[in-house]
Amino acid sequence: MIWLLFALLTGAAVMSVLWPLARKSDAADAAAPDIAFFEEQIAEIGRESAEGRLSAADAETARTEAARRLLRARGVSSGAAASSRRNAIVAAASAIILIPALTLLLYGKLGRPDLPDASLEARLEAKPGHTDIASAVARIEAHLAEHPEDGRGYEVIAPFYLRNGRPAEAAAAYEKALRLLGPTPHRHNALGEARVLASEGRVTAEAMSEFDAALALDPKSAMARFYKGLEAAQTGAREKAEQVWSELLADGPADAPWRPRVETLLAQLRGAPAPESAPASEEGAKIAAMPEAQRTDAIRTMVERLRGKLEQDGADVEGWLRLIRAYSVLAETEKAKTALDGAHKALAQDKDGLARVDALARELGVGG
Amino acid sequence: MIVETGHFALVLALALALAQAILPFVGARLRDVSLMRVARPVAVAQFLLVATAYGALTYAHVVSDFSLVNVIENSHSLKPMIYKISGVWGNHEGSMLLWVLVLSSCGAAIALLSRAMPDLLRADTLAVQGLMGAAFLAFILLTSNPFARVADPPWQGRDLNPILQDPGLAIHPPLLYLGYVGFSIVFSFAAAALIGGRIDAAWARFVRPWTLAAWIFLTLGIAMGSYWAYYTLGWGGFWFWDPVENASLMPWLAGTALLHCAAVMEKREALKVWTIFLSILAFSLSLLGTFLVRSGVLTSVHAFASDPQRGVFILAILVAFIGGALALFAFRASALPTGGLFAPISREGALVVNNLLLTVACATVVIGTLYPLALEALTGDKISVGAPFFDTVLIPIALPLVLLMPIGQMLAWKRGDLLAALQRLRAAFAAGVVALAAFGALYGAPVLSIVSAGLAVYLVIGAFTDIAQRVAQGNALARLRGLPLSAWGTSIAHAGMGLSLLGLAATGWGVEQIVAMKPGVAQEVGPYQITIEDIASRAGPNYAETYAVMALRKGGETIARIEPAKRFYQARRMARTEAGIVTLGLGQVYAALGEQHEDGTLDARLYYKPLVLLIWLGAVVMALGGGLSLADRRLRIGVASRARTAAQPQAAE
Repeated sequence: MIWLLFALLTGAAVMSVLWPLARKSDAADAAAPDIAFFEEQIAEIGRESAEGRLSAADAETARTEAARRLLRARGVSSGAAASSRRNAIVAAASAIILIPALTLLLYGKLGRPDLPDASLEARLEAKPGHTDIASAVARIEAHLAEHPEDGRGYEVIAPFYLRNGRPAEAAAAYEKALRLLGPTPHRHNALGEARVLASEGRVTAEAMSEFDAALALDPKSAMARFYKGLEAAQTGAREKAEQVWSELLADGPADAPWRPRVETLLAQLRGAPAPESAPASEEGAKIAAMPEAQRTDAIRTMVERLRGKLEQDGADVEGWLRLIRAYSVLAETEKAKTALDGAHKALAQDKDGLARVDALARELGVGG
Repeated sequence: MIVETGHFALVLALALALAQAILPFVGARLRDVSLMRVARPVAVAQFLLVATAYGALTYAHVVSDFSLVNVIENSHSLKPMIYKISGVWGNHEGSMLLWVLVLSSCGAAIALLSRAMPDLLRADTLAVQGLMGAAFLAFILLTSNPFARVADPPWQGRDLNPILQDPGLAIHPPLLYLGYVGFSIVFSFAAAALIGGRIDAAWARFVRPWTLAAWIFLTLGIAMGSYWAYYTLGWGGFWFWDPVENASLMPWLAGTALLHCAAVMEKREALKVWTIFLSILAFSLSLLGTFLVRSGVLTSVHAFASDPQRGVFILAILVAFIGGALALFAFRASALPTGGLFAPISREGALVVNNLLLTVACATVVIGTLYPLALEALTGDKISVGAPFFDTVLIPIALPLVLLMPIGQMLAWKRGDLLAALQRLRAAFAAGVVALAAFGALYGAPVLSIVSAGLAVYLVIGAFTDIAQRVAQGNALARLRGLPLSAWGTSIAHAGMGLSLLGLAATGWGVEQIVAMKPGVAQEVGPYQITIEDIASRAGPNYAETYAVMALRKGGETIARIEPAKRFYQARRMARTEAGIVTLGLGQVYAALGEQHEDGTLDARLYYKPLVLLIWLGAVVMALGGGLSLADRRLRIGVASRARTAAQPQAAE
């Protein structure tokens, strides 16, 4: 079907060449248009002077000038231009052969006639089952575009964003859900958590305000208390963090899923200062203080710089580990995979290093 | 199927463009009429094929077909429809396709509207046009194919650059391209004249409407781009001497010079070689602009992607066409018949002065744009040539040019009388001086603004003096009707220039405030007070924004409310400011938001810009003048008049 269409198009294109060749051309005088032009100019002078817009003397001068050019054009007149049958046949034959040949050759290299159109709507209709989460999300997004006041939709879609490394969008969706459906401790917490993830784990003032709101509604909320402690730890208020987390452990049920994590953090807090809690370098502190969009850019720049360095000198195992982790955090799966491949090449001699890289890759689910 | 049909049509268009380049050219050399006449239907067919391809790409964007890389990278299913359509040219591949679409539509236009043209000229012109089409189609297909597909399409696209999500995108690029590429026709005509070795008044007559049309579109395109930058970038500026802006200004200056010298050629058969040269120059500068913007040599809002391979390809096209045309010029120009001579004090003489000044201005912009690039390429030093350089060089060129514009209009063809012309302009001079004094008293310094404003008023009055005096000769109505449209066109276009100049002069009197505003506390901006009444957030279709409600008061009375905002686009994770603008007469008050602080204050840029709209309205008036001139289908007649009668009204235009 599509090839029939292509054939029709090609046929029409070739016809546009053949048509004038096949027509019997009246051999026109090559100078005729020029002669017509100057004759028209002289006529125009006559009209202008008749209407009184040109004085008789001016009209006379202009007419003389135009007449002189007219004479010259007549002089050039070189008789009729011919057209030869043979030329036409050669031209037609080459058009018939070369136009389709060139087109097929180039389209054969570039085109994908096997791929059908894939409009978003058609794809969504073709997949009515919930087999594919991504298509479900696209459907909900389309639904929300039409019904932007449907808070439930935002609440459904937000966790998906979160799982796919799109925390900023998750935060935006939770924010809308909160506004449309009204506040609950759970919604405040979810929004706060999305914001924390959007700022790479830092409990920002924006996120903290959500946890505070959740605590105002439910003073026992475990998640809000966990992040409250984390915020204190990150800002260096160790005693406060210790107090909040200890109380949380004391209150909470023994089988709470968050218990091991809080215990680890608490142990870290009591032992050495946790490594991730504060930005490690001056540069890190500067980046942490930037507004969100700028910070992402700055981080990306740093990551790219690291990548460049590793391309120059690939023996740095720590560097590769950092790079793969960074891409994973930035949800750049492709790049993380590329970095993993790069590490394999660069560390081929270094067995131990390679093992560490592979362990990290398994942990992060890169390359699997 | 629609998408691949478009892809196939694009490839087919390349084959046809080659046929269009070869067959008529060979026919012209063999003096074979049938071969030469192949040009017309092929040009039309090529246009239809490119239009099919363009339509298919637009369709893919509209229905969010994410199996196209181009759609994935530049669209988003939630984007408003207008940006889905205009987003087609809001990216490298699509904008190149639009470029070729305009190029082929120009070819089709010549083919359809050239009944009266000699076969030889038409065949050569369309052959050159076809060759250009082939070069750019090859560029698109081989380096920037908008129809590249992916087998496993994602469910969402990456959205269009937020700065481009603006109605300006729907208007600015098509207009600019119509202007840029419109000059391609003039270029093709010039090349054809050089190849065929014939050039005369008839040639000038065929070229005139195309030059005018391209110039009109370019004028509007530049003005639109400038206004867009003004309201969207949040700096309150409208021209940044950015290389990309200069890239559009260069062909405009060359095109304006061409417009004027083509008039000399049509009337008096003089300046032929110069006209040819300017025709080549205007389009060469358009190509240069395309190269600068599309090659990734520059980083700017216009540079969608930087890919060295594309840069080299465009550079090759650039060198081939500009170099080829200039070589042709060098070999053939001496063979062209030279035109008549004329006295220095005459309309022709005045137009030569105009051409000199415009060319010098154009050269200045070229140097100012390319010098930093060349320096960076050679030594690695980054320098930026900005407003100080251009102001210093261009103002001393522009102001005398403005002074001379009405005088040139007053001079008769062939032999003019300068003294009489100056006498007839007495009223305009007087108006200029009065305006100068009035602006000086009203606004005060800077001196440059006062002088420019005086000149602007002189130019506007001077532009209409000729018409007014002709009409005042009695029987006003009949004389008005008798005036050729092109005379109106000249006057209106010149007056438009005056209006723009007045707007530019008034920038010196504007007020700029960069302040931290506290809600409820009034801030003085020129004669107005601005107060923030509320700061809030809301969500748009694909962005979230924080906006401030600002009340504008004068004398205690609220005149207007504006809502400047900062928008954040999720998909691209980019922010952009949305300026709040209120138009008061011809001036504007302009507010853009900055950072919000903990203590509730909000950084804001506040501007009061008197008469600022005149800058763009002037350009629209210029384009209107061009349109009137274009509508004048009458032939221009060279009228030689004696010096003695020059003081009398002339039917010169």
